[in-house]
Amino acid sequence: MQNATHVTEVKVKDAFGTVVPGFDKAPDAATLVGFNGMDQHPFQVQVMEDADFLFDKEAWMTMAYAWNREWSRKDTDPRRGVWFGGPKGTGKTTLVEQFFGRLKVPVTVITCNRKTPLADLLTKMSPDGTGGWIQTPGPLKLAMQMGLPVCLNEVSRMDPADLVAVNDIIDRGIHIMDDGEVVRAARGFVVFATDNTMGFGDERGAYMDANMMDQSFLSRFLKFEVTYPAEDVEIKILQNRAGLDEATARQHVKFATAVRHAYERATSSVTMGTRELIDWAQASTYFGSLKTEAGALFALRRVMGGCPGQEMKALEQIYRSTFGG
Amino acid sequence: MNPIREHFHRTIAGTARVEHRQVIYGPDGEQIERRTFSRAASAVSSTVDYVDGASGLNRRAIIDQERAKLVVAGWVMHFSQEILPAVTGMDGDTVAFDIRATEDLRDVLEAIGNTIFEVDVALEDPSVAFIGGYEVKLQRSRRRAGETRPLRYDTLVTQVPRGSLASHVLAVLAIKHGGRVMGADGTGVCANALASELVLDERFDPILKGYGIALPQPPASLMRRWGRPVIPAVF
Repeated sequence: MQNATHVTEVKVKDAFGTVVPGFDKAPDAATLVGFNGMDQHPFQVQVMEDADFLFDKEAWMTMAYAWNREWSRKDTDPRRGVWFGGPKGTGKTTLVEQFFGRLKVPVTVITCNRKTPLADLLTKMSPDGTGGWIQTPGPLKLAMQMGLPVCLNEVSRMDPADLVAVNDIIDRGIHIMDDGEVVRAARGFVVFATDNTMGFGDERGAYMDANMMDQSFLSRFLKFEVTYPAEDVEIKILQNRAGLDEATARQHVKFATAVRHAYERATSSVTMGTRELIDWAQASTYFGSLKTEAGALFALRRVMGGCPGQEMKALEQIYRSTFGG
Repeated sequence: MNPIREHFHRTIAGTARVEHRQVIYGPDGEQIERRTFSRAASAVSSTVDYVDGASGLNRRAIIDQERAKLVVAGWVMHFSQEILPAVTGMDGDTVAFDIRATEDLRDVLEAIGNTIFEVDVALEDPSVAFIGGYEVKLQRSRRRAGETRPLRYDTLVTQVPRGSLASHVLAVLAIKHGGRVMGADGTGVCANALASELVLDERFDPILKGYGIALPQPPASLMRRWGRPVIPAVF
């Protein structure tokens, strides 16, 4: 039936039944392509427990569309991944990883920075131990050859000139190496991008390294702006991940919401992602019996410490108005 | 071994009356249950005979013997199917239906069976329908004081495996006639979601069209390379 032995149709309800809100209304017949027999692949993602990661419904549908499109497009149609933009700690990379993890599809995650040259992602020359050099394929080349999805993290931190050179790889799945070798991507190679911006730079100044992206690069992606999970969802996450009772979890989330509002109003340069919220809640549980001060406040300093003095004072003020004391 | 049932019918000479006979062979081949009934307008009669078979005989031989006897007597066999055991919530992924219609569901099921599914959807005795190997019991709703409508088999409460033909046919009935659909854990199931698979089964086209049921259609542009249309995971 399929064109490759490792490819299989997976019913979406079997793979994502309880981790996408409102999934009971999703068509039973809807399927996505999953992989067979690649459980031990080094790029295989460990699937989180159902309660530990809930997908945003719209983000999931966008991912499902991109992946369905990849396995249905004509050979001449371009590949289209998704650009996930949003503040730190909102689970952008986790979303991509968990999506493919549940389909048993290994995903190549590459974190970019200004010093990540494209050439290194494609191939690397290393000593062969006998005085010569050996060419080893980089993660991008491997993903292209094996037909695996790729997630480029913090993509706006990469050199814009290098990124434009990636256009052909992202779009047509083809790259001609310096030595003339032609690398053609197999079906399944789609590039996803996660970033703190939507590619138009960061007006706030919180992500200093973020470049304004070339429009020709941006046009190669579907776009999705990721926001923090709803309060109820975050409360459940804290209850599950940190073992907090509902009332305490609610207080923690209330605090994080207040910090985020201050950040959105540009009255603060510090915000709190879900990642930091979980870290804080877990540390709060650990330091709960601290005698010298409130364990949650002590834990907050450990997680959010390092921010400018005025900001820290503001955080402590928000803490007191949320937790009392 | 599961029981096997076979359906026969014959027209009574000089009349338009059709007699039905169902023969059910028990799992061990030692018991044959024969039901004979006719159905004219709303009048239904049935008789049930139990006959002990010869112990130890091959079940297949008993079935062949009985079938030959009936054919000689003018019966025409139109249905032979293994009866699948009734399911419960403990039997994996099941879906429960509680359909309360305002018309006789026997007519609906008979029409579906006659026009499309033939042996896969058929009426058993008055209160039992047989859908894709599963027995589905029909019930009559109570008439309220002063209500003069004829009695009808308008209620259907059953549980079948998710994804089976029975679940698909019943999902269509649930969409058309309303009613509750629940998963094995008792939570609600969207009948449209359940029926979504039917867009890939062209046998259902006339039913969906006749009932005016619109299900998410696969977009023409999205077709897997191996020919399977992509059902959008949109909800």
